[in-house]
Amino acid sequence: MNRNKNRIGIIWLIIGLVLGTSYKLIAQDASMVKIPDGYWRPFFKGTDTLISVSTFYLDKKQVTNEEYEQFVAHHPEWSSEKVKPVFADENYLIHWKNRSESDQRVLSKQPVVNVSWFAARAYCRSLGKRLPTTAEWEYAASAPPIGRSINDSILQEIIANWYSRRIEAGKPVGSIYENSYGLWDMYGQVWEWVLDFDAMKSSDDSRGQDVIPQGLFCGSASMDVVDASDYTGFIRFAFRSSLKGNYTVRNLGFRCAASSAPHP
Amino acid sequence: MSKLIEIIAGIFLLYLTACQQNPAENQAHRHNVQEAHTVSETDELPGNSIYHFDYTWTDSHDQTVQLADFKGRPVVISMIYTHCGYACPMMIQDLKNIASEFDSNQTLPFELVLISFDHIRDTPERLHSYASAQQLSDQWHLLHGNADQIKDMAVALGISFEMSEDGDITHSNRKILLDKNGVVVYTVDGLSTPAIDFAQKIKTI
Repeated sequence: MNRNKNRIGIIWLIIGLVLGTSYKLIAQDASMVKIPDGYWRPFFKGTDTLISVSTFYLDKKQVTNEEYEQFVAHHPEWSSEKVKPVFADENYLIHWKNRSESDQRVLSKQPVVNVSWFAARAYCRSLGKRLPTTAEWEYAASAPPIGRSINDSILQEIIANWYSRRIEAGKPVGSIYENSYGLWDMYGQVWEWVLDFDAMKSSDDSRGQDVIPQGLFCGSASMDVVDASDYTGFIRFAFRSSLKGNYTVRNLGFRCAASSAPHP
Repeated sequence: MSKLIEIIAGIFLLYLTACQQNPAENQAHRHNVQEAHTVSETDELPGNSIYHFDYTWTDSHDQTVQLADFKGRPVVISMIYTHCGYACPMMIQDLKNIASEFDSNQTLPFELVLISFDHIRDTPERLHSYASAQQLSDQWHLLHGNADQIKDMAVALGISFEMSEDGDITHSNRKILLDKNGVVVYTVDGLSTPAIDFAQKIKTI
């Protein structure tokens, strides 16, 4: 009798351990990673400008078509039929139009594109998240691929190769490279919205006409530019500042961030 | 010994039932409760009307306002903050100059809306004393909102801003004319810009 009880107890313990471990995995919200605090040096603001970045959480992967579709199902005002042009232009989710079932299957794991800033923001907000700031994004993206050193030029090569390529058929999220923070495809897949994509349009003082930081322009005082070889950084900034909140672009997606630990 | 194991297993089980949640269910729930804005009875507005942003603001009289409340009249809209020492008073002067192009004995044929960048310091009370100090009439509407809605409006209006740690806000200086339906019809960047051109535009609406 006693032995029987003993055995039941052990079985319960094993069941408990198994369930407990699996629960813990879920509870950690495997979709995000914690990015430790640090500094980001914008390439255009002079060598002594460091922008501090507080600890934050960032989605490991870009938001997929499948995930975005779930969001639209819960928020029909964000369907392409119902969305107002003030929130998203006429090409919003245009790649979803007339797609076959097999297209849909292939697309499902690929990053969602043709979404506006307002739409990306609404998606993140629906999950209690937000878009990352430029500083957060650039800081997180500057980490080298896993197993490579920060001094390695591999990152610049990945980016330069990617930027010079024609837009190709998409790949599933999480298939280009993982960086040392555990983030996938910060470069190499699609561009990503940031919260302050429009920040470059503001001047450093609020006295007069809008002035774009001079260091950005050819022929102007390029002394301000920290690293002239960071041409790819320049391209990102130029691209972002050409956007508007309701624009949608066929190689522009997003991932979400959070300031505090995400809920399970 | 067996008792001890049972107790441990029991506690473990209790902990599990207490904490176990279905993540899918949880997510769906969050989808449902966390909706902020975007749809209301504004369907008759043109698709590009900024009045589709149906956020609730608080004005300097502590009254709640939605931008769509201004529907039916032209609106001159801009963004400022009251701790701004130089650019914002100039912006207000620009707007006053525009207003002075109209008959001062009559109600202005348009409303002036100023959204504050500063959701922390620009409380409705602060906006009220600022409006008094600047001698702004009741046709001026100084609006306080939360950080999210301020950012959305700034992006919608093409006004960029950035808060620095010392409380200064770097921002662009743009005044925008909205037609009776909240559609942007005219935009002027910069300060000390000619009032007469702007007034002419208002008169064409």
